[in-house]
Amino acid sequence: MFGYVTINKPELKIKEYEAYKGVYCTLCKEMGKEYGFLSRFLLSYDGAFYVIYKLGLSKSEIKVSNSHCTFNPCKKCMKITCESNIYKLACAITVILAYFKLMDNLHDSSFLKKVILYILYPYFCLIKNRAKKKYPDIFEIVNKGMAEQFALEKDENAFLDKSAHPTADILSQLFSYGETGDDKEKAKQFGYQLGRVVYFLDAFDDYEKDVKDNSFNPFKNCDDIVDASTHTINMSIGALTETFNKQNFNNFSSIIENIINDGLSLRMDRIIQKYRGEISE
Amino acid sequence: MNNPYDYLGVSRNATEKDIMDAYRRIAGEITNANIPDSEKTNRMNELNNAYDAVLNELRGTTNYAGNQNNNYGGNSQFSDVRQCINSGRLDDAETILNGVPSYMISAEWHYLKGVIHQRRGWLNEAYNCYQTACSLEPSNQEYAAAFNSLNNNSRGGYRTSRKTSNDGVCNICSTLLCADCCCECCGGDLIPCC
Repeated sequence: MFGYVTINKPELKIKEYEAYKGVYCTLCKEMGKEYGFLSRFLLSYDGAFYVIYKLGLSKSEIKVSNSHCTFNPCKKCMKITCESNIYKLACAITVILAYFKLMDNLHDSSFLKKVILYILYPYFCLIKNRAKKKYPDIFEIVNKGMAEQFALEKDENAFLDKSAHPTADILSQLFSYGETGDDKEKAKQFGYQLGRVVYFLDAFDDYEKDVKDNSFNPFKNCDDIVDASTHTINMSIGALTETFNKQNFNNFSSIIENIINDGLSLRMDRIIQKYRGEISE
Repeated sequence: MNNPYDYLGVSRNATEKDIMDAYRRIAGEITNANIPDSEKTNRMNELNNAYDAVLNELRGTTNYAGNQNNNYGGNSQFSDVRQCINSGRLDDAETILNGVPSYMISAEWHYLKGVIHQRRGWLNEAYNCYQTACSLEPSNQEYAAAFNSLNNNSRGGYRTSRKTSNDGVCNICSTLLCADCCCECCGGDLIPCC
């Protein structure tokens, strides 16, 4: 369930796009510094959004400087830094989530793929342990949530809201991590609804595959997959927008708005097209 | 504690000062009473909850009872549940609701169940509950408002709220060109130069 939280590029201003890219670049460099060169390939847009959201809420000043991309030295990019440890936190979360993603894939993939994953396994364990050492509480949050999610998917009676709960709860705790007071409460709600959107988008995307393989999918008992999932996802995006409007962002508020409003619904529209296109054929 | 107003002994249109005075008086009574300390703490908690509930309503941050009670002739069936919800004790509220015998289950019961679900972020369940509440009592505005807001979102209403500035110069030009083509088909001409 990676890569759903992205921008809708045509709707962004150039300066906002530059800032977004800057955050992404800075996160990439930080990953390299913290977990070694290879770990940079684990980077996802979700991690970048996490940093954007946290920097948006942060009250300390944000420093912008010019820098170059390591992979392509001719390309210039901005370096956006902040005194707090948001980047380190985002790196740890990326690594830990990637590890659990690998574990998840080990359970359900073909033989050939499994062999490749087993070759990668020790490396993932290594960097996971490094992240776990730095942020044991984060690891515990994800570990517990993933175990719950796994158990829940064995239960055939799990209804929609319940099936999304563990994932939503993980994001709720990650987004509110380190916040205090009123911000924490709202970040919790924000993370929860974002988790629901991501979970349901993923379920919507994988629906056909899951039906074919007879594996768990929360929309299995629904009559019309497109109607049911758009209904559910739209409600959560709406709630996300409402929470967003209640929060005070010091930076990046237009980028965050772009991502939760246009970015998420763009992803949804693409999946709808996939299903609608096949129906008309 | 059923009604924070009765508990404090103030009327529904009491001012902030009246509420403060009532609070001090009762707090004094509790401190001077000849009872064990644990009992004192319990009573103080009760008092604080009542005080917060009344003050919040006065300041307009929550509307625990005022508006809603009017719909029921000044008497909500589940005022204790509403109070629990407003003070954030969702589990308590749910326990009370689940304990209600089936003959007492009403539109309000479904509505409050929906509110609890919505607070937890379980929007699908909330949607179903609001829908039931509305079908049982279609004239109630409180239920209708809750249902409509979710229903609007579920149809992508959040998108229309911000995309208003899409019609630019390009749209005007293309509309004019189209109109010109139409006119030419019928033998006339809107824009003489093309």
